[in-house]
Amino acid sequence: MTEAVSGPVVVGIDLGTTYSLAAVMTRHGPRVLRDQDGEALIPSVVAFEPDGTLRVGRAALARALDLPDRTVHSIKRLIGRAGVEIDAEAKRLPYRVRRGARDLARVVMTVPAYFDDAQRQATKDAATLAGLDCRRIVNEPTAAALAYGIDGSRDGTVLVYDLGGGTFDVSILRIQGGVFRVLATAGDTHLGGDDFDLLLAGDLLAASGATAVVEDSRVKQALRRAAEALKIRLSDAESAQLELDLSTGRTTTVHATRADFERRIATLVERTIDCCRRALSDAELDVGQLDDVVLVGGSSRIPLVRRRVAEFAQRAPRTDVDPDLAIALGAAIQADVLAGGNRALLLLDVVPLSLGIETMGGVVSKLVLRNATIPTSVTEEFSTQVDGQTAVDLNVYQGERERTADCRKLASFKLRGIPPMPAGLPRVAVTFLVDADGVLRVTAVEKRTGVQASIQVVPSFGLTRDEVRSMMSAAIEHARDDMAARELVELRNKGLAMVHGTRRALELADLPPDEVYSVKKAVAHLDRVLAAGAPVDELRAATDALSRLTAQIADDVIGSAVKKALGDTPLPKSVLPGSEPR
Amino acid sequence: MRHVLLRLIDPFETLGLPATMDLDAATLEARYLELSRTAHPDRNAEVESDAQVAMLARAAAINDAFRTLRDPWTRAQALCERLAPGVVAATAKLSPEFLAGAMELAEAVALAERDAAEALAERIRRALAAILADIRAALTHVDARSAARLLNEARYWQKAGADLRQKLRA
Repeated sequence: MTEAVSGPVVVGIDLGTTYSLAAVMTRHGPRVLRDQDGEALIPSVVAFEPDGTLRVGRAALARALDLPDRTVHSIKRLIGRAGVEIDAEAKRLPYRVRRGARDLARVVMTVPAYFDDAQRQATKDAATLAGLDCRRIVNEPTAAALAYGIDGSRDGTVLVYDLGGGTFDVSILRIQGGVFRVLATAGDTHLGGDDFDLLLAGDLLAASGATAVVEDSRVKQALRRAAEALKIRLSDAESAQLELDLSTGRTTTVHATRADFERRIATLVERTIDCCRRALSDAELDVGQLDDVVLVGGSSRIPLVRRRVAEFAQRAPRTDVDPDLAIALGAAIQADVLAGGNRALLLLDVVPLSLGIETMGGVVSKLVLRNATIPTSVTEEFSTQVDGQTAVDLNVYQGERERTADCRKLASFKLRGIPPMPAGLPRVAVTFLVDADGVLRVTAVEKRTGVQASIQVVPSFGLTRDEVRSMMSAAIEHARDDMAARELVELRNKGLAMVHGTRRALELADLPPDEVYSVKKAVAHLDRVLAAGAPVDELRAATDALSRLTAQIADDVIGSAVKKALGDTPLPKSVLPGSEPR
Repeated sequence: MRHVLLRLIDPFETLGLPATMDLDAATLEARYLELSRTAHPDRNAEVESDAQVAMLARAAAINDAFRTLRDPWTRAQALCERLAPGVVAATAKLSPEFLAGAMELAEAVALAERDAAEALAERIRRALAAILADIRAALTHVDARSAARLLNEARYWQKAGADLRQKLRA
């Protein structure tokens, strides 16, 4: 940075699934911050060296192949998710990226528009733990629209299509006299470029014939990298060739064409177009009423994506800002607004998903409807069902469906101390207040008596926010213990995958009976160890034993297994012509 | 638990607009944006935390008032409540004749096939337009009770319309 920054600085951070960026407003407009090598895109990767050293960004990415079990990536997919979905501590690891950067006190962070309340809370908490004062959570497509030279001077309606590494978002904004108003937003928090990579990686694996080493995490990493590289090359070229080295001592040459790749990802791309349709309908607009279509996110470079968006929107999308930088630049512009540097712009964002409470019979009574402009406050009055009821349960849900079972539970409250009254007499006023960050606060008051029980929010994963905070702080202090716990979880996952993978390989392979017997025995042993919940050492011994055994016979398996795999599965042979194993 | 919608703040007052059904959409929008420019929390990031709570409440009230007044049905409801607080809840009990008709309507929606469904959708649209016109007339004569009863009747037509749309999509 050589450009002077004046006044109070607020930094805009685009915390991405695969890459993260930071930007600030300068006298010459928003500028992305670059590292000493001039790179703006910092890989969202953290590596834990065996000696306890922490590496982040490019340095961590470089270790991904050597330390696959100790490198965390694509963490954004896990943020704010419940324990059943992820290893609980994984979600907070990448935020230590910013620890010690105390001069970066005030920040604006971006999240996918479709992030739910828990995911926003987790992002805010993570920033706090990293020593950052998060002044605002901004939806990514909104930030991108700001960056797009859509400087507020020209009025119109804009569709922002944001396909990133792990999430897809679409927002429709109306710009009037410097006010950016989000009319509707839709998306999918689990759809992005990573999914394209995974599809390609599956094809590459089939082509390489390395069935027996599918679960080797080193091979997985290599495959992912190769798939990503291939995907990027197919955006510029009609076909590409790749030398695949899966550390099995053999290399395979893989050919791929753009047409095959496009056929492979067509369904996923269609899902994004469906979201666009829904957002337009929510905004009560026709395609013809759009004045601009803007593409954001690295995956929007894919030619098929551009073509489908253009077809849908009936106009050529704008691509004049680097899709990787747009969100960070927009966050910097919004940061400048918050710092008081820009009085001309204003963002009016919306709630992505409806919010309500559970009423009789497991039904969600919605108080705040999706696409309501924030901040918003809604108060509704409820009563009791049973005579003499002295407490009411308030269960807060998020989602569009009618029944609680189909929505996401955000919190549980209890309002106590209601004097005994006949059913229906108490008047419980429940207020939902969504602030400018899209974060929800709920209060409940019994109006006849004025009882206002103090209400404690319990996030859906069964911990209070204070508990989450103290756990997160503890995790920073006890990184080694956490890592051991993490290792156990990963080893378990690896073991489970090995059991499944090897059993499948055995079905496909023509092996001598004695080898089948010894492999089956090792698989059965690993299965038992897993079921018993054995400690790390025992688990590692069992997985290693099976690995050694399968490695010895891997070459035999490959020949027959791959032929069968390619013959009897819907894996597109056509994607990878000439993919016979050597 | 049962619940009643509460309107604690008058949306016309919040936006400083005349309390009438005949609000011009462009005027309403311009007024909303003008108020948002000064009242939004982003414009007041530096004020003290006590004042921020009030600022948040004010910004929320402006957003909610705009949402209420933009839609003619919620605008009519706000006018009813302004004229006679609680009148919409007080007129929620509808005549047996109307309810019998509403049940027939719900049945028609449940049974409607493709072609009949289109005709039924058109019938519902017309009915709602007629009810809205009656509500306007009632409010012009400051008859909050009639307007409120019509609003309650309209809910059945709106629900039938929504059910039909969902059925057509499936």
